[in-house]
Amino acid sequence: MARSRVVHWYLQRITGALLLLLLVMHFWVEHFMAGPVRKGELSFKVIRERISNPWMQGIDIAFLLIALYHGLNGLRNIILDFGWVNRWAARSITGALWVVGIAWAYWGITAFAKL
Amino acid sequence: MTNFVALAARKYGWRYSGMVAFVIQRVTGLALLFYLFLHVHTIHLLREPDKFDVALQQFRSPVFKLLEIGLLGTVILHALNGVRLTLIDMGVGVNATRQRQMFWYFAVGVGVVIFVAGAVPILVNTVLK
Amino acid sequence: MGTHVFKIARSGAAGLGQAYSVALEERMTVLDALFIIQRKQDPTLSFRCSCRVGMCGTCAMSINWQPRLACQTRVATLESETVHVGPLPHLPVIKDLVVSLEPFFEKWKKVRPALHAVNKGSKSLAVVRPDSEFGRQAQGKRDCITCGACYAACGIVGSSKRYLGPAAINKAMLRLLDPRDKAVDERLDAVDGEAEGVWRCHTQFNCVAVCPKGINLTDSIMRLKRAMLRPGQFHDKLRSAGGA
Repeated sequence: MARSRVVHWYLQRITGALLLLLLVMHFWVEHFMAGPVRKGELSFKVIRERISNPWMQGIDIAFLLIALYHGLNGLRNIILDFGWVNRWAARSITGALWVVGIAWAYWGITAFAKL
Repeated sequence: MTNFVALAARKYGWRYSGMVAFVIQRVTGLALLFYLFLHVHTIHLLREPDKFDVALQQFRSPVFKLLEIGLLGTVILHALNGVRLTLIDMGVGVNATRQRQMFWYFAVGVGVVIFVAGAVPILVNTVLK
Repeated sequence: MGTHVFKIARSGAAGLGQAYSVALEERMTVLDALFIIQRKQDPTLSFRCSCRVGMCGTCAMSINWQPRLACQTRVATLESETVHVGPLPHLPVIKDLVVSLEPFFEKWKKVRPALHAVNKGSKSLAVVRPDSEFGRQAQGKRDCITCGACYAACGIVGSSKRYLGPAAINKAMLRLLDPRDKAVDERLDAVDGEAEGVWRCHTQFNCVAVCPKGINLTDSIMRLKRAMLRPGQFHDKLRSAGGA
């Protein structure tokens, strides 16, 4: 019998580990990779240069999507821990969180597209 | 006559670490989710370079730098405690003593070290200038 | 030997409870003190107890805010001269220190705690050898006296009316692992519940800290969570046991 609930538990740990990795990478890229940022001279130009690289875009988008899954799944757990919800309500809340997640992801990804 | 602190310590002392870790994980998690919202909003400002550069200027102010340091602490706590939780879920140290040690020595102890390593340069280079 | 003040929560009395002074006698337990108070000072004090030796689980109550067995708690070990005694949290109070364990047992029943025997008509003993796989897995997990301390201590039980609680889940795990038991799917359904089951446990370890039998409940729950990645394994035991 396939059980989807264990998947969310499992993925929360996996996305957590991935986020740690991505975070360290992101931190290094933002604050140490390019010369200007090391001196604290972050500017629109520097960022645009970095984001024009499709690999960078890919990593950033992956970071956003993984963070959204992890964060919204966490929020879902908080809600479920209060036990106010019956099965139907739990499904609706999960659905609502998916909608929020997808909208948020779209909002984030379009930030790149506009450049 | 027991004073308030001793009373509170006794009331929560026996379930200190596991519960504290749980609450911290929840609170930092929600804070980070909120931060993500703000972050994506800021990145959207990239569409207009002049607006973005104005924002960047704001982010160099001491208040923002202090907030940034707060963010650093939040992320470190959440991440290290998360590592601890994943270890527990994998079967490492699933007993009352070990999990307490993992929390105070690893999540908090190592966390403070990393925090100081990160926060001091930020402070020195911006707020204290 | 000194006098201790027992601040006991009473039904209808607000605040930290009614204070009683008891002269400490050697090796006195909290239960001993309660009897002294009831017999000599206040016959209206209500509390439950039975065996007095830590076997039945009846006298579980909140002692200095920790769910413990009153008969197993020596006053001298409490390190304070004021002892706060109250009913177990998370359970409806009937009177003073007496709580109703009904919610606890409702959850207990949800996991079908009785053995659903594979060989119902068998006349021979269904032995669990200590060195068998089940014997080893169940080591230290079978001593539950359903005292309710873990249930009272759990932070999630405190916030959710639906969570089954550590004792029920531990029992479910024991039955799921037991090769003599065949009711696998019903129990999997019970512990896999989104709002009720293992997924509500967030490894707070309060239950482990208070269990008077030293059962590592969080370990049981954790093993079940990981076992859900391959729920078929519980059916394997039935196939391999071949009706042992």
